[in-house]
Parts: sequence; structure tokens; C-alpha cells
Amino acid sequence: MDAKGYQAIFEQSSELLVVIDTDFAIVDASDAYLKVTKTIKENIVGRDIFDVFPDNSNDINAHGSRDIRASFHRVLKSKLVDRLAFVKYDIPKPASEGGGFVLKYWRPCHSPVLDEFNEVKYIIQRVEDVTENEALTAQLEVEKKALQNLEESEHRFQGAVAAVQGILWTNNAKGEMQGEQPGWAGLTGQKYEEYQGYGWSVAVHPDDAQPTVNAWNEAVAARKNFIFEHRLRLSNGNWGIFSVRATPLLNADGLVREWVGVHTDITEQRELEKAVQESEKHFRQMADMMPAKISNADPQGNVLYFNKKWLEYTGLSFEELKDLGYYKIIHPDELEEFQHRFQAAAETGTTLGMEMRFLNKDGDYKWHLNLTSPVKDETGKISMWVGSTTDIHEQKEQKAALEQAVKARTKELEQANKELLLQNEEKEKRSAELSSANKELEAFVYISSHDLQEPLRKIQTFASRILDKENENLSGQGKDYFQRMQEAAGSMQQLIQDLLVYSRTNVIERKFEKTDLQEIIEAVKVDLQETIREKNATIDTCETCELQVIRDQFRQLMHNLIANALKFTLPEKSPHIRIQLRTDQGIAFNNRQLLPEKNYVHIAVSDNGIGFEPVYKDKIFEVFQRLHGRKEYGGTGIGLAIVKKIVENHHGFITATSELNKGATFDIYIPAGKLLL
Amino acid sequence: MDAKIIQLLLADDDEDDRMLFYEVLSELVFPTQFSTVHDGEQLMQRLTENPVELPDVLFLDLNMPRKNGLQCLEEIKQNEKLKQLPVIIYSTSFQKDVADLLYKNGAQHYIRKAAEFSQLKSLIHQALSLISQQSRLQPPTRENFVLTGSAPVGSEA
Repeated sequence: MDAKGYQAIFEQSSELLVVIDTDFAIVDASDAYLKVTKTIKENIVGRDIFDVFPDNSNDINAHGSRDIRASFHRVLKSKLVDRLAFVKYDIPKPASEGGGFVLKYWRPCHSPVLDEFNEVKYIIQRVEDVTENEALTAQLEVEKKALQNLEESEHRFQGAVAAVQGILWTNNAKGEMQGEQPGWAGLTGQKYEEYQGYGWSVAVHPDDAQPTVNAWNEAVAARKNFIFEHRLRLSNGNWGIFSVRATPLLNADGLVREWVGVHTDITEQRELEKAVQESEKHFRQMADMMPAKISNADPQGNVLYFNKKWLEYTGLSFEELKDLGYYKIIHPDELEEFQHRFQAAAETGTTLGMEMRFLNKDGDYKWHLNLTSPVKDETGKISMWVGSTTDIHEQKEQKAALEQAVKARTKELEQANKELLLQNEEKEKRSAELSSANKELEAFVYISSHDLQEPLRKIQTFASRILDKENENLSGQGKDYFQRMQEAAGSMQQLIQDLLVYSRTNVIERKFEKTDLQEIIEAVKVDLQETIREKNATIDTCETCELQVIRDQFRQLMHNLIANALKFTLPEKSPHIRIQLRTDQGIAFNNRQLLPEKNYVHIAVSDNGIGFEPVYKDKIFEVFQRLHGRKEYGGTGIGLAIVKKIVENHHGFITATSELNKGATFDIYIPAGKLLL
Repeated sequence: MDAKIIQLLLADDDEDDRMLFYEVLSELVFPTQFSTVHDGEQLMQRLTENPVELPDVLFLDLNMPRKNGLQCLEEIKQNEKLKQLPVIIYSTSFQKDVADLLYKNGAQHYIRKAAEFSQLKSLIHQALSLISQQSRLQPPTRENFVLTGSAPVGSEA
């Protein structure tokens, strides 16, 4: 067979054959090869095989040329046949077929052709097109991997669902619940048969069921995410509010494989929101019922709310007042100041308090106290303002009127004070004059009483001398005249002495000292001992008792009382004088003049003498008051006046009780000194 | 009792009183030698000029011109040479506080000039009796400081 014959055999072989030289340039190819590789012999002979068949530029994983080239090198080196299992080596499509590549899997076998020197001259490549088989295998692998991915992602998805504390369920592509749904069953308590298909919608609140189904069908039709909220009857019979999210899982071909959904319990969240709404509603109701004008503004001062009172007052609608609309009801004189002070309050975060006028619906501006307080968030930033505005128009007017009245009254008072001051000055002057006059009087009383006594005494003395020495030379009548003269002088002397004592009870320093009443009485008895002896008088005295008194004055007092008792006696009776003393609370004495809770000393001096008619019980204490003629009972009528004065110097009082010829009792009450308490 | 002559000095500005005092003395049984001065200054001059020949007793009026009785008493009792001289106050007035002061300042007795001559006589008699009983000046006692005219116990019994 000639070369032509071999040529024909090669060309017409059914095998896919290509011959290359050691530089990998194509030498020849069988017709079958050309057909499968969509090439023409003239276009490829002489060209590098890898130029003719480059790797698929669209497949970044293509590595056919690398594997084939490696195999060629092994053949060159080993001079042996080299086989490859599978090689993916896509074939370029001719421009006439639209360009690009055709997916191809090959099983190649490379055989060397040796020359006479046993060197490799050519390499024959024989390939089998295994694309059909290989495509299936590859697809299987891809799907396997995809399944693996899906499992992983589902696993992650379930983890995510568990993390958001939702209930997971799946529906089929038509939107029907299918198969076991443990999450759903646990949540709603529905049994397997109950939730199948659209059975799940029975667990949805009757009011929400139809809207849910409608929305669900819409989402399924559109293959879009399903987002909804509805109430579900829970396994414990209560209603819960749930947020629903479902998303379609798509196949590689873009068709819905299934739906995955999550129910999340938002009952608590909704209830909280409801509570907040209710609370706000309450606030508004309250604010509307309040007599004060209440408002609410954002941090910039734009009012978001005016209560009913505000709207009633202004006669305007909320729309007219909102934001900064309220500026138009602020009195123009105060607007600028308000803006200025609001700015300052906003900067310092303090309450703004301002008296300002607001326009009412009758067109009058009325005074209000406007308090604007900031409400701050947890960071201390002002989140809103609360305004509370009180009508103070009347108070303000009253205050003004009051101020006017006070001013007028103050003026009057000042005038009155001035007058009073003048009067006081006058009084002081008068008092000084009086004091000076008193001193003069005192001096006069002293001097007169002293100096008047001198001549009187001498009149008496010389009269007594005449009566004594010239007794025989005087007629009976002459003696009588002298005696009368002497007596007259005597009474005048007594009078002067008593007046002196009386005036001295006024001026002497009133020094209270602890004094024993019994000692005083004993001293008085010594003074009066002659009379006591003469009249055979008995005096019953009290026991030792200490008093807080002006000692000398008290002695004078007891002297006068006892001397009186000794003087006004009944001729047929021996005088009997009783002195009693008692200290007690005012209430114990049965005397209306005493303060019930104060302590008093009561001294009673009683006698069995001539007494007096009750009608004279007060008169006897007056100066120069006498009930008897001097002939019967001597005295100047000053003794009891002195007694009264001394008792008064002790802040007490004295009363006398008597009936004619039945003795007399003098009751002295003086407040007990601190010593006795 | 020896009839020792009592040297008696009266300081009184009132001539009537000096006369009456003399009349009392002349009616009393006491042997006395009587001399008078008319005011406080004269009195002190008389006493300090010749302290060796002092009277046995001084009757001292309180109300005197130039120097009153109270001042005189103080000077006498503060003077070492004179303080042994018994001083009997002889006055018209009587005030308890003044009397207390005089007692405190060392006066021996207090006689109130009586209106009745007989009363006056008995007062002066009482005073002289008390003085003549003492050989040496005793401190005054409170009980018989103010004389009442009644005879002292045991004097003329």
C-alpha cells in the first residue's frame, strides 16, 4: 500500500486523531476530529495546537490545556503512551454558530511516533468525546454540593430562628402547610390534621383570619416576602399578638421550592405600646379637665399640644396656635422678653417663670403666670417643654389695689406715729416735770413735817409748863383752855406724823426681803405694850411664817391694824385680837378677786371691838375718813389709808368686813413671793 | 451712889430747847455741870480744842446749821481721842432709817424731844441714869437705844 493509501486510511478513520510534531504544531488530523472540533484542516495544520484550542475564557476553572501539555511532555520524555481519564476542554464555536465555547469532556490518549534513530518525531492524539457522560456526572456533583449548602444554610437558619425566639414553619410552594410542623403545633396546640393545608388559619383570630389568608395568597402569587401581624389562639387558650415573616426559598431555576416562615410573639411589646397610648390619652383627658392652661412643646418651643382650657380661653383652634402660632396671643410688650428668656431657659435647662399677658377670645389681654418647665431625657437633653399657665389677672389687680391701700395706710400710720412720738415726748416731758414736782413735794413734806413739829412741840411743852408751874394762878377755865390748846397741838402733831408716814410709803425704796411675820408682830406688840397692858388685851398670833415683803412697811401695816383694834374697843369687853395666816392657791380662798391658779398669802386680823356699819367698808380706807369724833376715839383718819397703800405696794388688796358692835375683820391678800412656791 | 458731878454738853441750835433742857436739869436730882454749843462746827471745835477735858456725856441735836448731828457723830466716833464720849441723840423728829444709821454709827441712845415737859424730864432722867451707871462706855444695845421715858430696870428701885 502506498502512502496515498495510508493517507486515506488515516483521513477516513472513525477515530478522532490529530498528529503534532515535537513543537506541538498540528501536522494532520482525521476528518472525524475536524468534524467534532468544528475545524477545517487548512486552518489548523502548521499551527500550535494550543493556539487553535485555547482554554474557555468564560470558565475560570478551565485547566484542559495545562493537563494536555503536561501529558505531551511526558510522552516526549518517556517515548511511551500517556492516557488521561477525563479532561474538560471546551471547544470554541465558529463565529458562524454565534462564537463562544461548547462544553466538552474528553478522554485523550497520546502515542509517540519514533524515527529511525528512535527519537520521537510525532505525537498522535486520539480522543474520545465523553461530553454526554461527563455532563451528567458533573451535574450530580453540583447538586450534591448544593444540597450540602442547603443543609448548612437551613441549619444556620434554624439557629437564627431559635435566636430570635420565633416559631419556625414551612409551607409548600403553593402556600399550604404540609407535613410535620412541630413549632406551629407547639405554639397553637393544633394537631397534625388540623393545620394541614390552610387549616392553620383556624388558629388565627377570627377578625384577622381572612386578611391574613388574603395577604398570604398575594405574597405567594408574587413570590415576595410575606410580612404580617395577627392574633393567634395559643395552646393555653389565650390570645397572643404575633409578627409574621415568611420568605420563599427558590430553586436554581428560580421557582419557589418552599416557604419558610417565622412567628414572633410581640404581645408584650404591643401591650406596652397600648399602655403608653392609654397613658397619653389619660394625660390629655386630665390636661383637658384641669383649670390651668396646659401645653406641650418640642425642644425648640413649637407647641404640639394645647389643652381644652387654652383653646376655650383663646377661642382659637389648635391649628391656629400650634408650633409658634401662640406668639400671636402674647402681648407685644412681652413677646420679645419671652423669646429671650425662653432661649436662656433652653440653654440652662431651667424652668422659665414669667408674668405675661395673653389675648383672650374677647380681645382682652389678661395677666397670667406662665411656667415653662423642661422635661429631660436620660442624657440630660431637653426632650420637651411642659407649660402651665395660670390666670393671675385678678390677684394682680387686687395686689395693685392692696399695695395702693397699704401705701396709703402706711402713710397714715407714719403720720400717726409721728403724732404719737410727739405725744410721747410730751409725756416724757410731763413725766420729768411730775417727777421733779414729786421730789419737791417730798422735800416739802419732809421739811414741813419736821419743821412744823418743832413749834407745835414747843406750844405743847410751854402749855404743860404753865399748867404745871402756874397751876395755882390759873382759874379753872384758864386751865381748861390750856388743856384744849395742848390737845389741839397734839392732834396736829399726830396729823403731821401720819402724813409723813403716808407720803413716805410712796417714796421709800421698795425692797422685798424675807421676813418673819411673827417677828414683826412681836415688835409691834412691844411698841404697843402699854396700851395692851392698860386695856388687858390678848393677841393670838400665827406661827412662824416667812413672807417676802418690804419689811418696814409691813411693820407699819401690822402696827396700824393692831393699834386700830386696840383703839376701837367696847368698854365692857377685853380686847381680843386674832391674827391668822394661810398660803394657798387663789381658787382655794373663795374670793372672786383672786386669780385661781396664783398663790396668795392671806393675813386676817380680827377683833371683838366696836366694828362699823358694812356700808363704810370701803370708805374707812380713804384718807381723813373718820367714823367717830376725836373725843371718843383719837386719830387722824390716815392709819387705814396707810395700810391700804402698803398692801397695794405689795401688789395685794385689803378688805374689811364688820357689823356694828360685832368686831371687825381685815383680810389682806398678797401674791406669795417666789420663796413660797 | 456717889453724887459725882456729871459734865454735860448739849449741842442744839434752838434756844427754847436749850432753856427747857436746863429747866429739866434743874428739876432733876443729878448733880450736873451744863454747857451748850449752838451748831455742829462749834461742837467739833469745842471737843477737838481740848480733848483732855471732855464732858461725861453729849446730847446731840440732829438738825443744826453748818454741820448736822449725823456728821458730828461720825467725826466723833472716828476720832481716837473722842470716840469714848457717850453721845445721846436729842431730836424732834424720828425716822426709823435715820435711827438705825445712828445706832450703827455708835450713838448710845436716842431721845425724842417730848411735847410734855414731864415726859421730857423722865426721858432725860432715864438717859442720865443709864450713863451714870457705867464706869466705862459700853456698846449701845438695841433694846434700850430709843428711850421711852420709863425707868430703866433696877435704876431707882
